[in-house]
Amino acid sequence: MTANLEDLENLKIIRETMERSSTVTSVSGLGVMGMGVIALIGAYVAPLQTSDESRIYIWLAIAVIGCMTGIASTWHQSRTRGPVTRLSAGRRFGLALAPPIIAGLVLTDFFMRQSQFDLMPGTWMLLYGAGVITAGAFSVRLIPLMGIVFMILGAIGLYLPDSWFQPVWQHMAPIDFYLGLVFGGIHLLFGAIITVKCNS
Amino acid sequence: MGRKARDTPRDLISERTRLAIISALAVNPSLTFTELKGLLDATDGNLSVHARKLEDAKLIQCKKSIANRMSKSVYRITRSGHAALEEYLGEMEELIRSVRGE
Repeated sequence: MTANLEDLENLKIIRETMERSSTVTSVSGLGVMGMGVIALIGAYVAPLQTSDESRIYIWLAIAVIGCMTGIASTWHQSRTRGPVTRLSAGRRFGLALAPPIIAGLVLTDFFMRQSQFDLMPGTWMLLYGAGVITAGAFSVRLIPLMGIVFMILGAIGLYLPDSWFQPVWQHMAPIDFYLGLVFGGIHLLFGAIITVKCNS
Repeated sequence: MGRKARDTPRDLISERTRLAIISALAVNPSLTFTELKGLLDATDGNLSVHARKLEDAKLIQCKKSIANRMSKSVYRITRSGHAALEEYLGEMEELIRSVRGE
């Protein structure tokens, strides 16, 4: 009986260690790069819309597709490491990322009703960065670092002058480039680093 | 008094720190000494001793390198290590089945 209890205790050690350590590299670098590509597509398509509302809907669709890509790639990455890690990594990542994303959706709706479109890009970056930091608390240090970069660029985005929101070329305004650069470029850059340093 | 028989891989990984090292490496392509130390909440000495035993038994492999004038040890699980853990988990499965009376 003692031996059995010891074995069960060892099983607990295996499970807990796998759960704890699975998050070290459970984020897929390729998935993060995929999110960057999707964001770049959004940065190209959104300015083609004629109304501010349509642009916001395009960005919301891009956000949903991007988040699904991130979750699916993390799920796939952890799937190769057994059911224990799959459940823990997916659950932790989703739970940490969800509250700031929900807050972002509520604020987006509020800003839309107030026609305060200029506040949206910075708010999105700030909240997404906050979510990435909390989700990244269970992952490699690069993830929270990426979140910090989003938050800094988001804070800058809130203080950009009005001229950044005026079209300078066809329907494109500097803020569209900024959104593409931040959501596309940062994901591509960090995704590549994660792929090379952590997933190889 | 003969010499103690050599430990089997199964015996080696029954020890808790070694079991935790093997488990952590089973779900990661590689981990550094510092990452393992943080995950296992172990001291340098304790982790070194147990990692060396697993390395000697070829259950894990260690690659040492110098980065920024600091030595860096990166550990990976070997095929034998995976097999030993699988065997151990198989035994646990059997045990649980027998307790359930299946």
